[in-house]
Amino acid sequence: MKTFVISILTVGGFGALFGALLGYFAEKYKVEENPLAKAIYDVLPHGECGACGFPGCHPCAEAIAEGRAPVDACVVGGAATAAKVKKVIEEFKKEKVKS
Amino acid sequence: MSYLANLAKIFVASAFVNNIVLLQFLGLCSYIGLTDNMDASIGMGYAVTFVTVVAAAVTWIIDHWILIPYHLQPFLQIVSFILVIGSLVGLVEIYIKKMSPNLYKSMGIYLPLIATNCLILGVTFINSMHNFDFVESIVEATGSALGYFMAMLILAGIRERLRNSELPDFFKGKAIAFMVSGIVALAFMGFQGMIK
Repeated sequence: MKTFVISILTVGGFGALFGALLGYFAEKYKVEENPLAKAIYDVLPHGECGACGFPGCHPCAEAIAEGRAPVDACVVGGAATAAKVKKVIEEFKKEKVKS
Repeated sequence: MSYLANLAKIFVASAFVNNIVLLQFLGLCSYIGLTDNMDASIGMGYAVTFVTVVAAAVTWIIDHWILIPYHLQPFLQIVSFILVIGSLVGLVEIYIKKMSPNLYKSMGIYLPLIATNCLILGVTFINSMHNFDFVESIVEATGSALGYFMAMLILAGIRERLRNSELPDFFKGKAIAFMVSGIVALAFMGFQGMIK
């Protein structure tokens, strides 16, 4: 029982400590990124499978945002994801016209 | 043997005699994946060196101040060590993304994959297995990481020249990289028996 409690406290404590540290540094070294790429990334499946030909979902989202890849670039998401991506891009364009 | 001579022995042993890539076959993923680009190899070398040395220091403290006194050593080692390594890699990733976006792009998926690079976990386990003290652990980690750096530079240089040489089609790309690293590993076997 004692071992059990100590193990949980150790791993939990270190997890919390490193998490806080990483959160602090992520805030300190923040990189401004393309808001459209971020919005597209949010609707991708986050499988990081690489089936689209990019090394992960984030590079794929950037490529779609910059027009280097089609809206249906995500193979896994299929038509459903392509529709969502299209919607995001249209909303983004509308907002740009307004502002 | 004096303490300093012992440290020198550990350094040479980890960098050359038991070179972590070429003779222990750890960390081959990024070794083969990134060496077609010299700049990415150098960046990866620095990142791995930093993560390995800091991870060795932190895991030594965790191992000797918490895991051994409370008898948690065999089963909690992997979990806590991977926790440390993963956090350090996250830190390096944030830093490189801010400071050098181009390097971040050329390293691609291999940068977050340092977290699962067997080299770093391997070094922390070697330290724990040999019961090294704090300074010895750091020297071992530095030696191993520099050995990895050296192997990366050697293969990246060779592959840069291979690109302009005529090869049969079926050797192109990763096949010739594996064959060349086998030959380099054979050359490194010449160091065997130098340190007992």
